[in-house]
Amino acid sequence: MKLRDTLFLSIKNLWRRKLRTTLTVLGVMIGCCAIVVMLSLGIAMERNFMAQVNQMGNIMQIQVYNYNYGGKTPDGKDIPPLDDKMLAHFETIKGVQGATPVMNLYLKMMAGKYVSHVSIIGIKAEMFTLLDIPVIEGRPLQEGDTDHMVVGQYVAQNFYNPKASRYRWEPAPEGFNLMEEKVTISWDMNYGEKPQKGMPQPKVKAKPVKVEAVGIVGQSGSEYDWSVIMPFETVMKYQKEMEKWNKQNSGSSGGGGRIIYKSAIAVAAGMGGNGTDQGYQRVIVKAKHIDDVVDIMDSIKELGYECYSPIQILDDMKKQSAGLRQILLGIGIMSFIIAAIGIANTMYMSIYERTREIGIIKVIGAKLRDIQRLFMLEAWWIGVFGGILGVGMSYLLSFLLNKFNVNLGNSEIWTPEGMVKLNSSYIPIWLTAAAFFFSPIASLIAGLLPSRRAMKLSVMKALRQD
Amino acid sequence: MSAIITLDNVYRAYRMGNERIMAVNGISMEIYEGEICCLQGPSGSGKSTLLHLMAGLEKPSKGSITIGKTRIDLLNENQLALFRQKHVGFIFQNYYLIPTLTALENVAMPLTFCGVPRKKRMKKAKELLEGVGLKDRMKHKPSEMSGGQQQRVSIARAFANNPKVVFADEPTGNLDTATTFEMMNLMTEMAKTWNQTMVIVTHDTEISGYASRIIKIRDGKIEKIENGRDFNDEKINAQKNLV
Repeated sequence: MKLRDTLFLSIKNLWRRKLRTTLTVLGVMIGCCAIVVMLSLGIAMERNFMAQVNQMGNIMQIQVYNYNYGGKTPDGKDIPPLDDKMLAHFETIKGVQGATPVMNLYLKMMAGKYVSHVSIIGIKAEMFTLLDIPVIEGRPLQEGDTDHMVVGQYVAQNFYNPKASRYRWEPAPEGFNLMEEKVTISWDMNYGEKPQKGMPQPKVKAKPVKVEAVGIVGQSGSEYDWSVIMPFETVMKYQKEMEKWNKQNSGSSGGGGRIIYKSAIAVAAGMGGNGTDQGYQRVIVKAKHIDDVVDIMDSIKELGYECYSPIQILDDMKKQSAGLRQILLGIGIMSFIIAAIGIANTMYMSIYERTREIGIIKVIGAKLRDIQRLFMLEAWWIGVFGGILGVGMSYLLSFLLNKFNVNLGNSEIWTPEGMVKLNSSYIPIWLTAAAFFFSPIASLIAGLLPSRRAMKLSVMKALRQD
Repeated sequence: MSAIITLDNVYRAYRMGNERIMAVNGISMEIYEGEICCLQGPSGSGKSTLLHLMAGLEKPSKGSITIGKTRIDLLNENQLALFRQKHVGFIFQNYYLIPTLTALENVAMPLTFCGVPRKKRMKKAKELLEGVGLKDRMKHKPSEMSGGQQQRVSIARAFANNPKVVFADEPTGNLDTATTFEMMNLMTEMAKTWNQTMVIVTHDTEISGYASRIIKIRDGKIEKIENGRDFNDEKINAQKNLV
């Protein structure tokens, strides 16, 4: 018997018992829908965790610190310096997209008549886009940039006019945009200030450097909001200039403030007391894919460095919600099993009713395989229709759940775009495909035993039945 | 005449409660190619069981049954199904049509199981239905037809796959006399046209007039074999006129 004929005949047979078939299909639809919706809740939960954790810093970025320099790894090896060679090694780890040293420097900035102390973060210019720093105006840092900077959106708020009044600092007006100003920076912390009485002047004047603001960072929820980002080499250069200038002025009656700054700067820049031979204090490693993050962290930790990534929080969240998600999936699977039992029941009923018919078609030449296929395909059709309807209903339910915001955890987060409502249900494409695929397969399995029974019916017994 | 069906010392036992009943009790016989053979006997004589055994619907408890060159008592169920598909047609007292299918679809059913493409099998079924005089009943369901019409459909179905042997189990049991003759004429004509062998079980003595041989069965044994009138044209014509 041809498959096409079998398909046609089986659907025709199904249609003979419209109500019963419809009810069974409804059962499968509910079972299928239960699994899909339950899974969609779990998936949405996971996605929401991800969104929340991403707010805490990019989940694909690993902060690497060299706190343990000079110590030994657990298996007794020396911890190597965190230098360019090590950076190059990081980039060869599987799944790593790039790595950049990070350097902090604290300098004085002047824009027009306003000044401010600013925290400068130096990163490799070409890594800027990899770090997913949101730029809302202008452009990100590019390779070849030198005295260029991208400014955190709150940096402008710290600018003030030191000369405006004797008694108070006048803050920069609203709408003050560093991209529109001529900006200079200096390592003299008194740069731009009104000279105070009794405050000694430095022996050598620090020459300010012209810099250009090329972009502004949107809200990132991280250190970038309050900092100025510049190419790593430039920050390094400033650091050296500053050390040179400090040396020139040392021994003089330079301000105590500067000395404090000096040590603070040294620590911040990661060039601890032992000089620069120990390499960078901090490096950011960017993973290509979220699944690689943990592996990359493990291999970096093996070298003896400290690592940090928000993925650890995500893992904790996932662990805590695993129980709930398993219960959800369990409910879904249970309802599908009930639906499958419904299919089997329908099939048994139908075979019982059609015993004589099975006898007839056996007599007129139906092979055992034909009969089994005929009934298997009836079950299969139920699964197909149930699956299609089930997926449709899942989308509807998912839509309603999201619309009426039935939530299983935090449902709102702050993002650079403002308050965002998180979905409580999310059906990815693969889940839809899996439901379409899985529902008929499960129905086939449910139809297996009944169809074997139909196949094994004895011809004479079947014919004698009324 | 060469034998198309050979039975050699065939037994068939049933268990009814604690009793063991010999429905077929050591029958050896031959059915010849192209003949119309009638199995006659009172009810409970084992004639139906004998037919089922020959058709491979039941297995003998003992003995061998050969159709053509095939020992059908040795075939498994799948092989039997294939064998029936190719070589055997059936006509039953209760017609045994599939109630949800139209006359046309019912006749085409055996061809469906053979894997004949839809167009081809529908054409053949149409021809057969025209042959049994149901040209204007093709799209009717069995429930919309009279007993005679249903039996015609079932006859058409039995001949659908050009079988070597057609078995008929009380084919006229549910029909009135006039229709009975009609059916018998139809069946014998068709069998004659296609040179097919026919085995008919009946307790209706009127039918014996169509048979080339009448095998009388009693208590599971052959009582006697009578030679029929071998297509007494006169008689058939007379019956035709009756109709």
